[in-house]
Amino acid sequence: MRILLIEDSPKLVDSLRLGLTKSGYEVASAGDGELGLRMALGGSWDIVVLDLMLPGLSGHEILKRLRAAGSNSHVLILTALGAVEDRVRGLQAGADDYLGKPFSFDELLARVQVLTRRRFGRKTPVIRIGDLEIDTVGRTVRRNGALVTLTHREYRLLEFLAFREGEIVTRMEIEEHLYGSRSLPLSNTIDSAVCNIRAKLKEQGTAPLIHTRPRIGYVLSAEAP
Amino acid sequence: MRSIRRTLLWRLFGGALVLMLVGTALLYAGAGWLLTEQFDTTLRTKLATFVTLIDEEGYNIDIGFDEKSMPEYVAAAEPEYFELWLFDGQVLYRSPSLGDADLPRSFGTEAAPLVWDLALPDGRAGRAIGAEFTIRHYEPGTEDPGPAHVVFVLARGRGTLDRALAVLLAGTIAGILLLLGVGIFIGRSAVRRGLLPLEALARHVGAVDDPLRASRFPVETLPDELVPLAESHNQMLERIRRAFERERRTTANIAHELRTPVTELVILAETAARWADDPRSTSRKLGELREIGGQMSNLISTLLELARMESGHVPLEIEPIDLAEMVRDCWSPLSATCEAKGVTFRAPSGSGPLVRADRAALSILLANLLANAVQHAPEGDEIGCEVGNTSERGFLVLSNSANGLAAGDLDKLTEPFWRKSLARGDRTHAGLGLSLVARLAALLELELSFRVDAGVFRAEVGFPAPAGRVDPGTSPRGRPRD
Repeated sequence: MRILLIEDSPKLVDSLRLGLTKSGYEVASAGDGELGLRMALGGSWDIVVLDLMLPGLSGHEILKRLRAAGSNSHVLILTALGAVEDRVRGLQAGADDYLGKPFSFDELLARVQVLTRRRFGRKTPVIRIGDLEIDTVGRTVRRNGALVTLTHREYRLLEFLAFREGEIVTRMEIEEHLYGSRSLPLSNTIDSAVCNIRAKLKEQGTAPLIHTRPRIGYVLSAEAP
Repeated sequence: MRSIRRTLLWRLFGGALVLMLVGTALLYAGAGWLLTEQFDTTLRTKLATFVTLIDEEGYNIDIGFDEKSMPEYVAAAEPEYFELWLFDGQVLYRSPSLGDADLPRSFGTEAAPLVWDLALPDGRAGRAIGAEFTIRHYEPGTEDPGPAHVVFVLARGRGTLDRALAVLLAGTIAGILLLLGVGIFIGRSAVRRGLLPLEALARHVGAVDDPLRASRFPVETLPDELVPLAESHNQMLERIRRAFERERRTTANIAHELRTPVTELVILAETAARWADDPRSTSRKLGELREIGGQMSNLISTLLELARMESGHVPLEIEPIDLAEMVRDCWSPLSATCEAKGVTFRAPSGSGPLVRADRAALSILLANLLANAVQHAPEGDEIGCEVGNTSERGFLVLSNSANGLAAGDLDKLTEPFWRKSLARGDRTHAGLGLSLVARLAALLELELSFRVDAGVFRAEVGFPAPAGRVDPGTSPRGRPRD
């Protein structure tokens, strides 16, 4: 999941970046409104965490322009303006959630997770596909009840495929999701990661879950294509 | 409770009643006098008639009285009476209506007969006229005995006069009552209509329970007497509204200023505790926590200082201070920041004017004013500083690029935490500097003003009548032109 953090407090940005990255998110940040808008419009972000009181361009203006440009990223407003009218104004302008300062990191993370689930039409934090069970809060994977140990990146890839269960997920989408704008070190990195996940899943069950679509991408599904 | 309406009505009606009573009394007295005079004129005419009817026939005195032509003197329902005496009191003649009775023998002269009220022999109230005169006629051919001196008294009932006076009195009283009734009606209506604008204003003022939502009272339709009151009410509402808004902005700003560092503290502490695997990162975060704590401590100290100044409990030691020297002293700590930004500062040279102020307070004021100029001057800008005095006051003018500040922003400059931009910007600057400057200026009784002119922001401090030197570079006749 890719998160863009638009916030002008460097200390807050550093801490949030650390926490969100450690929680499995790809995080980029912008310290002023104009840069934030450029980045928000220029990339594919699952969630934009947006401060309202920004130098250059206000958060309200960024939100307005994002929605006018047709962006469907989920926007979580993060601000010290805690009055009801500020919240209403933010939500009416197209924000998906509103978190007033001060807040705890756990609350922010929980809201980010809710927005992530909402983005993929999920209502519960546990995704079940056949005998596979992914706990998106505990970040654990089980097959047939047995724990499957994945690396951080493998988990993120599997979670991404699981969120889009039954859909073809292209390699480019997976690259964007896992690595953002950074270029991949090797062209078969994705294939290699998928191969590793398949191998680990196979240890606890025989039915294949990740299916390859040649020259397109992968589908995670309990049913064979 | 006292009421203007009741007071006005009582005084109006009381005054009108007194006027009506006095006027009516005068009218009644005048009309009564006229009626009586008319009655008396009739008596005089009758007296004159009898005077011509009395003549002498030798030693006999004859009165040409004819019962048929003067039936009122014969016994009747309401007869009139007369009686004739010789001057020595011998009765010569009585009217038939008098019988054997006598009339009171009071009299004046023929030219000025005596008229008076009396009780008639038949018991009625009457009025009589009496005069003594000399008979001038005598019967020709008879012996002339010489002039005879007689007294004649004529009396008649005054019933017609009394009835006329009674009718007059009744009419007058009825008139008073009618006028009073009409006056009450008109007076009440006039007072009520006259007080309508005042009542409307009172209702408007009385209904103000929330000055923030109260509407302005329209003064256009008000009478001239109430316009100052309504304008004063409107101005007061506006002042209250502005004060409330300023207070609300300040409270919101304080909350906002504290929320962000508190969030930083919470998040830094949480992330540092949860991912404490990197000692260098943890150490850096602890340093940042200390820094945030220091900033919050400074913020709270400044807020407390502001509150202390607003309470007025600040001891001051007023002394003469060299303004130019103090500006240079206050500038020193800022010179490095200024250099880093590429901002130049034209410090005043030589000795400036002597101004009277508390040294510590003025030092804080100048330091904050200068820090504000450095903070908001764009890179490469020049901060101007002029000090001097006129015959009336000393002054300090700081100028730098307005940097987006508009004339409409000037009245918010001294509000705590007000910033042109909503963003926090430089966290070393809490947005309290000019608030402190304003409070200190008020405390030291200095004139503080701001203006924006052609892209240049000027902050000017005026000092009370200076006590000393004039800066050689400054015209003593007036303020320098920037």
